[in-house]
Amino acid sequence: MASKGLRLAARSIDAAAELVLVLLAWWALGDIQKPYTDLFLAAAVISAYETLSCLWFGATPAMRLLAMRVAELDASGRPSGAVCLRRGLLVAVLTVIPLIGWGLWLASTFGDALGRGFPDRVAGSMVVPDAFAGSVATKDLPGFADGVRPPRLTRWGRVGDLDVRFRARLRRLTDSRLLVCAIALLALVRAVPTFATGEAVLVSSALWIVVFVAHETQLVHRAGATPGHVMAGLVIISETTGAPPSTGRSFARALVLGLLLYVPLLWPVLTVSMLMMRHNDTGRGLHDVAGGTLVVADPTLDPETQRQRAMRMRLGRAG
Amino acid sequence: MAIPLRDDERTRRVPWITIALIAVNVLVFLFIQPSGYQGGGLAKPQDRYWQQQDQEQFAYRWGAVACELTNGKALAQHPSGCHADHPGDDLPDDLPQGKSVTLALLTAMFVHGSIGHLAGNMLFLWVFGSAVEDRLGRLNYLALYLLGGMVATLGYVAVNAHSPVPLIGASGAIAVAMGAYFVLLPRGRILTVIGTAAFQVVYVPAAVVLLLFFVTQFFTAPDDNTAWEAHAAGMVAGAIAALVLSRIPAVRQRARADAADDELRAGVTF
Repeated sequence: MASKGLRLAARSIDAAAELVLVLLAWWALGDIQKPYTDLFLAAAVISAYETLSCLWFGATPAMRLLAMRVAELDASGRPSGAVCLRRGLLVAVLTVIPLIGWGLWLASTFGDALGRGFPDRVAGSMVVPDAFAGSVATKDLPGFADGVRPPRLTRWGRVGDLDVRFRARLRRLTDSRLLVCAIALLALVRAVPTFATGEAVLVSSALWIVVFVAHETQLVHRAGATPGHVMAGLVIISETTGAPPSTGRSFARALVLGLLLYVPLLWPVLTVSMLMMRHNDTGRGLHDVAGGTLVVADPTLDPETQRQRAMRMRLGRAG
Repeated sequence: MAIPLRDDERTRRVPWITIALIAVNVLVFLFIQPSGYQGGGLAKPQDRYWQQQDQEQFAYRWGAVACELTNGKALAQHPSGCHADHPGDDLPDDLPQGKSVTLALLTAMFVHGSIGHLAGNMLFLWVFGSAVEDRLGRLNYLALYLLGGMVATLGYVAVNAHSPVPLIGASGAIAVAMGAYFVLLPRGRILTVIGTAAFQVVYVPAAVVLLLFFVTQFFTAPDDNTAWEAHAAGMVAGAIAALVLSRIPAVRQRARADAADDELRAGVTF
């Protein structure tokens, strides 16, 4: 993969060139009374710059300058029109939304082991050095990601990687039938005008956190895993015994996790927790610290099955 | 607040009609509707007044006005049969002349009141419309969208026959697509953001999302500027139309192929 520093430099140069083109477009076609039309013009110009340069040169001008190119996954040669268009549109959308869009681009690019930001993930592409003459296969990506960082080991086994845990958590939450039932009930309650007050919203949200904590505590204490963890080949264990945590520890873990996930005011703390999971030797976030737990590869599975489950989760094919 | 992000139904082809409908709605809002709908730029009160007049005239020219449809005459025609019932209604100074009352049933679907109105409607259209287009086929879907949208507006007119307020927005037609989704893809799931004090992103069965949407329409606050009657009528019309359209051999064949694909995928191991 291309160096992240070089990619940031290329993006900065391209953004400066795009800014000049956008100013020209505004001068020719802009209307100060129509801010959203101006925003659309900016997005159209940036999208055209990214798409056409990708299509004609296989890279943006700044990428060319810094000896990089866009490679389509599972294909050789220059990327196809569809890939360039999807990539160009995403880059344009993220660029015209100040702070949030830029933050998303930076976080997705620098947070990914292979430096594939949202535009590359949506388009099915990857930025590689010019010198790399081959093609990249989707099935090889998890293996490359594994190779970027050596595995972290504890006495109970290999620590679950952050991206696998993140996807496992997402699967567990997005597939929760209990959550759907709770939401449906809450939506019906909120639809009745008598209850449609701020207090009702707060109470319903608090009730949901209680339901989540109770369900999570039961799952972690009884099975040492949520369905998402099982799909990813991971288990949650007590760091002292190596067995599923006690009810009290499971509860403490679930409570901290529930508050961090569901109270937007605490999302900055959630970010700190995720950084801890990414960078410390045991991969423990704040909820693991609260519960005295570790998330490791399931020791009852053979190493190949563990690896395959993690790969499936990374590829979004777990089930 | 619930925002659908996408459904988990795989589509076989690019939903060109849905993309085209979204493009037309966006381009009309950005380049044809007056600047007042974008709410920016003018400092002087007098300029803002004229901007607002422009905005209202546009809505009255291209929007569907219930009492116009009931009486078959435009508000600008005298007597139109609309003014007497609502003497206090705040109509623009110059009502548009030569308006086609019937054509407004169609044009109202492509006009939106604000960027939020447009964005919300286009998101729902993308989530539900693309899957319905895939199942019904392009021409059937386009006919369902346009004719169903008109039926939804007529549903609003039936309840508010004498209202001189212009109805604008694609939500009636989108409700038709939602009703059709309910019948055609009852086992689909919608990835939905639930934003209350606690914040969740979860796959919700489409049947739950659509039934909740339908039921909550009847609890819309009276002072809310939402034509909930058009939404409810649109969903019912869409469901009935889908029941009829699902008997077309080509649609039945696509349904069988989708079911076979689902079975195949269920057996796939990595």
